[in-house]
Amino acid sequence: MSIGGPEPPNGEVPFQAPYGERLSELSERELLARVRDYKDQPSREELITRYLPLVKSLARRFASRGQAVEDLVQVGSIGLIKAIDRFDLERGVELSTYATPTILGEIKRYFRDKGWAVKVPRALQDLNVRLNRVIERLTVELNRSPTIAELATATGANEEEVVEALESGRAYSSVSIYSGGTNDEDESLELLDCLGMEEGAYEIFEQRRMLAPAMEHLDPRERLILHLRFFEGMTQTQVAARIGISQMHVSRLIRKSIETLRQQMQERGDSASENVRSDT
Amino acid sequence: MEATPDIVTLNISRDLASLPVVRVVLDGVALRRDLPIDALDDLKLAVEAILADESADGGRLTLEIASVPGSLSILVDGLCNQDLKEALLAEGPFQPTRSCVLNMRVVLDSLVDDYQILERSSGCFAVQMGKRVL
Repeated sequence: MSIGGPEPPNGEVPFQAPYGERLSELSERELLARVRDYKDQPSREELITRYLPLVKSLARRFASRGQAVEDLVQVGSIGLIKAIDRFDLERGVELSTYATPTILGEIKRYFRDKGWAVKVPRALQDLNVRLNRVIERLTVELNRSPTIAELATATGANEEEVVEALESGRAYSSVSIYSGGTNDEDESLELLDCLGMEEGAYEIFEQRRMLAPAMEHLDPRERLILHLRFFEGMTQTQVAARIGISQMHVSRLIRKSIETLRQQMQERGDSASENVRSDT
Repeated sequence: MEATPDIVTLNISRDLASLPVVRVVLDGVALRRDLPIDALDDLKLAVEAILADESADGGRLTLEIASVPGSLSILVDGLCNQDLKEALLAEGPFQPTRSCVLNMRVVLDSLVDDYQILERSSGCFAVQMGKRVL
């Protein structure tokens, strides 16, 4: 039975709203019923309008993650529309309860997809994400970094797929939801606390400029990771545990940092050459 | 009797286009030797760092991975980046140059258990690295 209207014609005939009716005065359930029974577009738009503030609020949570909030609102709106279209009126929950995880899921998926610098098949991306978790779990269980064979057994994938997924992780940019303040479980990283403890050693490291000049172009977390890996002698797994991110993420950040240092040094070399030329 | 080393030899062009092949071969060797993935990543990073500033001109490079009980040995041969060689052999403070911007002694000290420079009569050189495998 439908709610808020006559028997539905399975969405084949547009819903005829009573003359003078104001959608803004209808209840959420009445609107949802029209969407479900008649695929009524005005009702859908009214629901979107009502829930847009929720989308904006959720999008703003990710404001500091390197993507425009307007884009995140757009992406979150897709999640909202999916939630409206899939909502089950018989479940007895509020639309907001159902829509929130759907909107967040869409935004997170966007970050994940944006993070992949080259096109990597979805199955590999998913295996890569699963591997992140399995590596963390096995590292604790085994008290060492797992092998490829152990990862294959734990994920149910074959060894070649594991190798491929680990390699595909290189295509993952650190501009993702998993960076800049959260760990892989989307928990707060409290990086500043972590940095505070290391600050002393760190300054010595920078003053000595042992690894390379241009260290100031790295962000604090990248500098800390290089320090722990190259001067404290920690393995990637130990660094990961200290910082609160995955070993795979540590691996990516080490490479990114080295690449940044290399580029900065090349640029310094180029500008020094330019200065010499202009002086002569 | 000593076990015969399991050796994989790659002959690759000098441009970095061959790096994915090198990584896949290292993956295969690591799989065979049950090498933990962070140790595997160290080896990849060491090879990448050595090749990063190598000129694309010149002859081909040879990469040899020898798997013996207790360790892996990786030889990168045909290197011509003299700045890299000097940086690895230097005993004083690190002096970055255009062709060697990272302190490679620190990098290799951290990533592998031992390494040495092998001079070649051609003027090129090789870096041989060892990584213990439990």
